[in-house]
Amino acid sequence: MKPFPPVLREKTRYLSFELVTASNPTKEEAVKALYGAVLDALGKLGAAKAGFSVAKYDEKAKKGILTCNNKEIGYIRAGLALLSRIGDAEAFVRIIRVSGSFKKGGV
Amino acid sequence: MSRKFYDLLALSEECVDFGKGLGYEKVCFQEANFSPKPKQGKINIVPGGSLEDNRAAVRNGLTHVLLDPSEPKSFDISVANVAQQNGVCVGISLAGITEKHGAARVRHLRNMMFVVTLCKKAGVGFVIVSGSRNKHGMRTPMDLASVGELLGLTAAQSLWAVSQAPEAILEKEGLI
Repeated sequence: MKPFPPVLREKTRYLSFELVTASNPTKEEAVKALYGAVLDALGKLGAAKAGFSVAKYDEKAKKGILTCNNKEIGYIRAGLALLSRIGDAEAFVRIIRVSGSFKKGGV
Repeated sequence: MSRKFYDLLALSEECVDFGKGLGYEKVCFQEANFSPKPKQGKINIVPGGSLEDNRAAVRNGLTHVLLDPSEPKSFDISVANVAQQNGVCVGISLAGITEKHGAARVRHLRNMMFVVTLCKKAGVGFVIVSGSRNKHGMRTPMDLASVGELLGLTAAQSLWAVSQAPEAILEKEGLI
């Protein structure tokens, strides 16, 4: 299949984030919470349009990288800002950096 | 020129130092008066209530921010016009959203979108605050600004609401 021409290709942004929480969520719990927050805010169609996904997560450091479309970054940030719990523990997502490349995400 | 960010309402002292680590120039805890009764020399943030309460709050001349006037039929264009004349900003709080769940959150967001539409028409200023009770309620300034975009503000208006708008209120009271 021919790849998209550059003019039509979506521009991806890589958001490096940190989970600020007293607990130690597993990767599955963290990913579920992040998806849950974005789905709550944007719905399935909105999350699909934004191209949201969790690309990487380090359980020990509680840091990772998310991907989304460059046009929907504001909505993704807002959806993640509304996350207040992971499981029973209070938590929030702190976006450290937004980058155009995965390598420069810095996690 | 780098932008400075301010959070006008934190409900706990631990948020003050934690907020500086997140990038805020100042987080108001003791300087803020979060009650329906305004006081001289403090940042008066009045919680939204009924239509009569909101009307009285924007008329008294001491209110700086009317926070989350999201009760049904509690905010109309006449309240917005008086708020604009008296320099009262409408406040959007993150805690007001995160403390509600399910249908209550949907109703709150919907009502706040109406309020934002009316305020944009009347030319009322906006302020976005965290309203956090502990450090887990705090967010970075950019994340707080993005909540404003969710409700219908532009990116520029949202950034203004977490930087220049609270700065102007603090300068007016001589707190910076």
